Amino acid sequence: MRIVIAEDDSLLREGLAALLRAESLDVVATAQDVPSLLEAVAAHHPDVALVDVRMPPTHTDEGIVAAVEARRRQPGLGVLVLSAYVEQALATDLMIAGAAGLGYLLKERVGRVESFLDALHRVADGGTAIDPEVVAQLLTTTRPDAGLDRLTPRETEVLALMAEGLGNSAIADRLVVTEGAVHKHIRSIFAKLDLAPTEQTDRRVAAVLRHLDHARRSGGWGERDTAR
Amino acid sequence: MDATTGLAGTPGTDTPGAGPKTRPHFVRPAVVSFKQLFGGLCTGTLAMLLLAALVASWILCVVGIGFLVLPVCLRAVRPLADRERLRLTRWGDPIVSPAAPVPAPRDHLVDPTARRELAWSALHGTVDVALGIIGLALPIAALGALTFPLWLDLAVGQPIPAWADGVSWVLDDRSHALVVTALGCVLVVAILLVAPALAWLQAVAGRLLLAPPDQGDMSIRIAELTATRAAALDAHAVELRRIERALHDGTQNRLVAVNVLLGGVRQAVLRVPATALETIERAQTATEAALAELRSVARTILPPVLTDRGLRGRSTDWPLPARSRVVCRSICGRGVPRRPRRRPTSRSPRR
Repeated sequence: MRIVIAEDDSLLREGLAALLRAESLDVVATAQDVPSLLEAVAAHHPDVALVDVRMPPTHTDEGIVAAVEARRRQPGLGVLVLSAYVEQALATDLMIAGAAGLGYLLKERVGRVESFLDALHRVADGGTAIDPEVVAQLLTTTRPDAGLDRLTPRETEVLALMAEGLGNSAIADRLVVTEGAVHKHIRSIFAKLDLAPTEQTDRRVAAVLRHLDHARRSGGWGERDTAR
Repeated sequence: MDATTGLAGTPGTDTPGAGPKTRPHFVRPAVVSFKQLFGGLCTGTLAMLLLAALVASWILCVVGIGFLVLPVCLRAVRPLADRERLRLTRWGDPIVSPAAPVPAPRDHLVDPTARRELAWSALHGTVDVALGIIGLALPIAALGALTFPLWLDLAVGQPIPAWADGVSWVLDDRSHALVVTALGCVLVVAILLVAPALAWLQAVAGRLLLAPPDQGDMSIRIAELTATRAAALDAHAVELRRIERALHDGTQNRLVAVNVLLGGVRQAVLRVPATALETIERAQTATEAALAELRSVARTILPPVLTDRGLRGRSTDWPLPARSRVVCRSICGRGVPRRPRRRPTSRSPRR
């Protein structure tokens, strides 16, 4: 797997590169800002770009802009965005045109190397990796009539893992159940939330995220109160 | 008064606390007026002394010594005026002290506030002192006249002093004592009616001259306050953003790097333990860097020297920004207190 790293902090950049090289992954280039990232992507045609959200000059959402631009120039490029803090709105911005081949993780997840590599591979293969924190934010800020209260606790768990971008077998592993049981839960969730059933993971994630985000946006607190 | 109502009414039917309410409504204002007159006389006496010192030092300017003494006397005007402002505030509408600092001695006649304060001290040290003396002498005279029959024997054959009732005459008959007492009663009634007016007259100079000249237009002051407060809030927000940025881009990034390196160490230990040592070394360096960052951020939030010794101590001992080579000199105005140096025993040892 060919990887490009964009991170303005040199220590973290080198640390990431060393970690990935030790896993015998091919880090073809490192960049410290948006222009050098775009140059590196154009020069090396990597499979995945690891991008920090806050980069010079303004240290706000350069990483998101760069990710969108890099994917415009090289469709199919996997982008895993790393962020020091969770901002669900940034994740929504990133996945506005679909969730395939995109990831958004907290920086500290890198320390758990196995699951980080798992997420990296998932993104490289056209899947999705959403940080559990983002999913938690989405789940807690939805209004009551989003249908989430109709889900059983187990189904909510499955929904959260699904929103993170895990496939059926990974969810089954995580919850220590059979894949058949996961299948059943997912069908039930899609029925309860009125979502079109699909087996493709990235479409599924996109649908779930869109549903959660829509429920969050349309349901202000005022509306929530009058709805009761 | 309580006793009278107690006797007049049937015991038990009187509501408690009804006694004081029956007190004639002009007694309390008179008592308040006497308090005011007394207070005014006190500050008036101080103003008189100050006035005398001012005049004397002004005259001494001819010989030269006055140039040394006059600034000292002029500097005493504002504190005295502030005392009077406080006193007047206690008895009526609040008068705020002017925000502008006391001008230099030679500007005292140019600066409107200082000029008004000087005018006030001239009036307060003369007219108001006289009003205070009159106001306080009247009740003493009335007391003397009322109690006249008690010390009549001492006064027989003596001319009654003029201050007793304002008329100088010779007492030759015991019956005249009743006349004096009757005059005392009239005097008491007159005092009760006149005292508030005297107190008002005594305060009028201060109320007119010590109030800020532009007090009528509060909107300007409110606008100014609003603007300065908004500026303070803005500065606060900028500072918060700076701290957030410093914590995020410095310390947090270092810790994330440590975390990444530790992840690498774990993988290395599983595979080639020998290579882990180098990564551990780097992780440790990153930890130290994080600590250093944290320390410098904490320092810029609130430098310990600032709490230990105050702004003056800082400006002389350290270059102002902790790591800057630019040595700043801060000039503290009066009123910025120098923090007392703590004793060495109470100072916690800092690295």
